[in-house]
Amino acid sequence: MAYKFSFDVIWGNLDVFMAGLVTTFQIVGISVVLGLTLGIIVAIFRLSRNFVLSKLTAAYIEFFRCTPVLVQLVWVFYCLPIILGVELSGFISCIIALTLYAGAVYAEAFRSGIQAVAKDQIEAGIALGLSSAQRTRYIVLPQAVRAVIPVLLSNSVSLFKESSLVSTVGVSDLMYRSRVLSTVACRPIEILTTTAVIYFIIAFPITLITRAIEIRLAKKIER
Amino acid sequence: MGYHWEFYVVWKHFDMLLSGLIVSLELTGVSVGLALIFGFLFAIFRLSRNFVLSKLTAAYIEFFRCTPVLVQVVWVFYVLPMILGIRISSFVCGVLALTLNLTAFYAEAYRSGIQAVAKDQIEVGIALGLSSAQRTRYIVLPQAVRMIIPVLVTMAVGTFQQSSLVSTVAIADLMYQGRLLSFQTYRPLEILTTVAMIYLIIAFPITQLVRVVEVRLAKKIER
Repeated sequence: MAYKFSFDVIWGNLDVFMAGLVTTFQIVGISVVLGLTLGIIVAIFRLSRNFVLSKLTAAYIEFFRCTPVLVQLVWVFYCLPIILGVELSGFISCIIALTLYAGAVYAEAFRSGIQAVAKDQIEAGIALGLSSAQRTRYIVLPQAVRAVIPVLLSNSVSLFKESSLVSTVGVSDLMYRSRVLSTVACRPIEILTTTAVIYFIIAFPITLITRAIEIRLAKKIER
Repeated sequence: MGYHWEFYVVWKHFDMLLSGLIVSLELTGVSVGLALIFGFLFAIFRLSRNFVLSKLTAAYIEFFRCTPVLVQVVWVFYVLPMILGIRISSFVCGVLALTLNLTAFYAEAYRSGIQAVAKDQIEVGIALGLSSAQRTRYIVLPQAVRMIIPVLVTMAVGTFQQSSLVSTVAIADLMYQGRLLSFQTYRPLEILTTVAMIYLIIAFPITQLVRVVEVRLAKKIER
């Protein structure tokens, strides 16, 4: 119990944490942007009247929502290069895996948002002579996106947390660098606790903002 | 692209995957059972009028919701034994980490359920002369739990998926066995795909069931 805490190791290695955090942000940032794009497309396919297209996208969504992200990541890292016959860097593998995962999760969010847009608004669009694409672009999407912003935000925070998994395939994100550092410096208590606190400091404010937006939106709907 | 699939390696080592699956299910089962109990306790603490108790519980809940599960698993595995000065078996570490995580999420779920129970029902309980404990036991709990069953089950499925993370600290769960086998046999494609399928086969029916229950509950509330 007489453990002597020594937080010098943290201050001395702040650059290591920072470098890891930058990689984490890069991976999350790219995956969020690609995932949002993929998610919208998949949601529209999922709601399409084309039976095959709708069921195929449903299968994609269910598969990625019902398997562990770690399994997806390891699969993309080890298996995708064999299937495609090309070499993929760890960084690219992680982007692919997290984008596919995020796409599935975002797609369900967009779908619920699209379905929540009132039918009479779409009928008004038809009455005004808007084409199907115009109705989607000007009536459905703006409202759907606004309604699901809190869900998208909390999904993105989850993605930020899941991104720590890339450390298991050797991508040097915050978690990976922390684990290496804790082994090298023999100070797991200080280092791993700091890592947890860094993740918390970033995720917690976004969670609070998400909650505030949720309450605002709920009030707006009540009115 | 001319990859020759050899699924016999999967059948040959299926007992290994199965033993891994049992460990995954054990981890999930024990953690869910403990979290159901502790989550409720923490929800009560969180709603208590004691300011310190309520805020401390809130801090615990937020911390575990806003940090990656992988960080929690690694922290419990490497740091906790050092702080406590005792040896903890890796299985117990896995259970501890998953339980701490799930308890935080369950506490929030219970809280939302408890808060959703109509105030006038509790007032009726007071009018009938029921004690605070009796009101909790006979009025609040049964209704709160029924309402949040879908959320609890969804989160339990989440924990089943997150249990794959214990493979990174050398617990021989399904994911661990899958990775080990894929290295030993040089057949990552067949084995990791099978592992993903096993997770899917277990998680997918449960999520479908949850959706059916959700729709039913929503209809009941409408009535």
